[in-house]
Amino acid sequence: MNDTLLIMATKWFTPVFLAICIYILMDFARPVRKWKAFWCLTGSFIMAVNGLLMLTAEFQQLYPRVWLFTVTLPFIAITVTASANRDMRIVFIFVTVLLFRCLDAGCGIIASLMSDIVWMDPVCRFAAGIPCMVLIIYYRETYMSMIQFMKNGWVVCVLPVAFLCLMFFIFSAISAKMTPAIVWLLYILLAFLSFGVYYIIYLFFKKVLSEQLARQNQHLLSLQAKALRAQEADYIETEQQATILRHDLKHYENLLKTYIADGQNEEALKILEEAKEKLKNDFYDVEEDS
Amino acid sequence: MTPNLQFRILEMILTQIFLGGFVYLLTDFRAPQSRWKKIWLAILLATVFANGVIICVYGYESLYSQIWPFTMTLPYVLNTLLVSKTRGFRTLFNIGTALYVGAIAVLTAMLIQYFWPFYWVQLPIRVVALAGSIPVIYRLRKPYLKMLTMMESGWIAMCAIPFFITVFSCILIQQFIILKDPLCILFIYLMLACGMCIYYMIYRFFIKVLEEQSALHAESILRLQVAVSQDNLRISKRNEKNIAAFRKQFMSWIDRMEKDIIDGDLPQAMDSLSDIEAMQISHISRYCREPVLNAVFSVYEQQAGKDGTDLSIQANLSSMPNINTTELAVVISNALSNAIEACQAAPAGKPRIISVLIKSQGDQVAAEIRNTCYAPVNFDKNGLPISEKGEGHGIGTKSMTAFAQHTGAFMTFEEKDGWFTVRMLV
Repeated sequence: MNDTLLIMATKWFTPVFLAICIYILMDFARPVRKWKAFWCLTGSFIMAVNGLLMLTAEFQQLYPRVWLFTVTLPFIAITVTASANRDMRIVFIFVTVLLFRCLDAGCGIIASLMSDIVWMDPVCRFAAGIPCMVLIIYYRETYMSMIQFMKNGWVVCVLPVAFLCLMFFIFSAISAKMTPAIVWLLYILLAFLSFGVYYIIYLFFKKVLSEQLARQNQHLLSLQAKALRAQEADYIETEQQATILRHDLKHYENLLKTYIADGQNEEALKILEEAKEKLKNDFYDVEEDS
Repeated sequence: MTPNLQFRILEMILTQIFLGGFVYLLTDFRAPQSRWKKIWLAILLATVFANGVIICVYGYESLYSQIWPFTMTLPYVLNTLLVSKTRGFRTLFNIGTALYVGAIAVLTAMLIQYFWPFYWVQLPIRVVALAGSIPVIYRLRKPYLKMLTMMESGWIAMCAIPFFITVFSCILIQQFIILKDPLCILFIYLMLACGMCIYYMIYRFFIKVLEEQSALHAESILRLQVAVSQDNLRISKRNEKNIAAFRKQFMSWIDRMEKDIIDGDLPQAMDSLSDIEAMQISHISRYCREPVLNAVFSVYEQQAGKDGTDLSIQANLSSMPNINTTELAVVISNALSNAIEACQAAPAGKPRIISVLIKSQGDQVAAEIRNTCYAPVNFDKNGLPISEKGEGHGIGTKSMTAFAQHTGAFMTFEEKDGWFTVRMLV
């Protein structure tokens, strides 16, 4: 009886774990609070109904055949409804969560292949589930920042789907025919490959974000540079006028010297007036306290 | 029908021609490249020859099929590590890729032979599969070789993936031979197809890193342009102040002169005339005609002054239409920043000197930046200084070498008699 309860509890907690992972990675529709509440309430309702039904012996027999319709499909429906995106991004969340769940389910299956103890399976699943959850939480921040740019992410969905198929193949199709050591080895290789692929996706996301940030900065800086160049142009003009005037000083000096020596005072005054006008016109916008 | 020894040797040689070609394409050889390429080829030929001898003397099925990872793969790895500019997982990615491509060809050939038991069938299949991988490797080559110097992290995952895929596929083919389950074949190819997708992702990742680097480079150039404009504005504002003072002085001189002339005091007017020579518009010094370089020198002169470092600049630059002066300024800025950092780290009481000499002739620019240096500097085998802040080169050095690669500039770093010198010919 206790063993049956343990098995049923494991079966009930598995979708709960999946639901928590989906919640962590989900980009809820706006208003976020409303859709979060909707998702949590309906999700809790689905799990409560399944939990209550599991208490009956008939449903315990039936559950392995109907869980797809009583748990998975309702969860997919509410997630698609509450999500801000209805494209590859939602597929990516589902396959990621399923793959991580398969990885820790694999741990449990291998443990049960190697040992007759009934609780070995749930304990191993739980133990493997914790690092998966930690990874998802760690991955979340980059993924959420990246989600806006990931509109055509078929390649990031294809790989988890393929790995899910391979997991299914190992544990359902041929595990009975192979030795547990080979199953273990294949499982470990697949687990490392999955983590490796997610790590590359993570690095890719980080690079995309860094590039986006650099492009935004570029845009702002080019605006700033444009404004500064316009300001610079005014100053350069003033400096050029000053250079011309500096050059003209020698010319004024020589002319004035000649006119004063020759007693041509009127001409000298004209030159001085001309210089004064030039000074007023060319440097009219130069302020002493600038 | 069992293949004879000549067939096995031919099979081994043909496979190595392709795999060797892939490794060659993906290897960033050490300098001098021609020497290390010859060494690599010589070791490879010796390895292939030795493997041929082992097949002839000890047989293929009896011994070689069990020991080839040690007689062929291991020498390959060691040989490639020896001649590569980079070390560790960066180079192993190259070997892993060749291994993965080899696995596709060998597994396909094995499966074909399993269903069609004529031993000669597998050879053309293997050659076709290997030849089909050439465009993929060729496509991956350019970004991968760039990544070797640009990318610091992620290599372990990228190396492990082809190895794991190969091992996974090999285990499944062995299980297929034992279990005779056709599903194994389906999943072998699913895994190999996943490998293709992963390589596509890695390729996209490499391209993204390049795009990110180019965006960051453009951003740093714009930052420099903004800094230059701000600095020019600062200089211009100070110059305008001087112009304003000059205008005031000149106006009062004109008034004085007018008064003297109207009053008929001509000797006094002649005296006042000599004052004009004393009136000069004082300008802030500019080192050369290039405003970007001017700004860089001006910024570092101020910084050096604050730190008590003696910075002397001799710049003689004519117009350089074919040189991107902003990029050149970024390089000079990096070199000066490193020089100032080195001077800041000098022990108290020791002289802190930086000298910059930059000249241009036609389309060529030669620059030398020297600074006093009291701590030993470590260089890698390519003569690039290694940063003491962490693993690898500093960001400044990376930027400078990227510029050198991009423009074909010649750049050397040297530490001698307490002086660190960067020389550059663009």
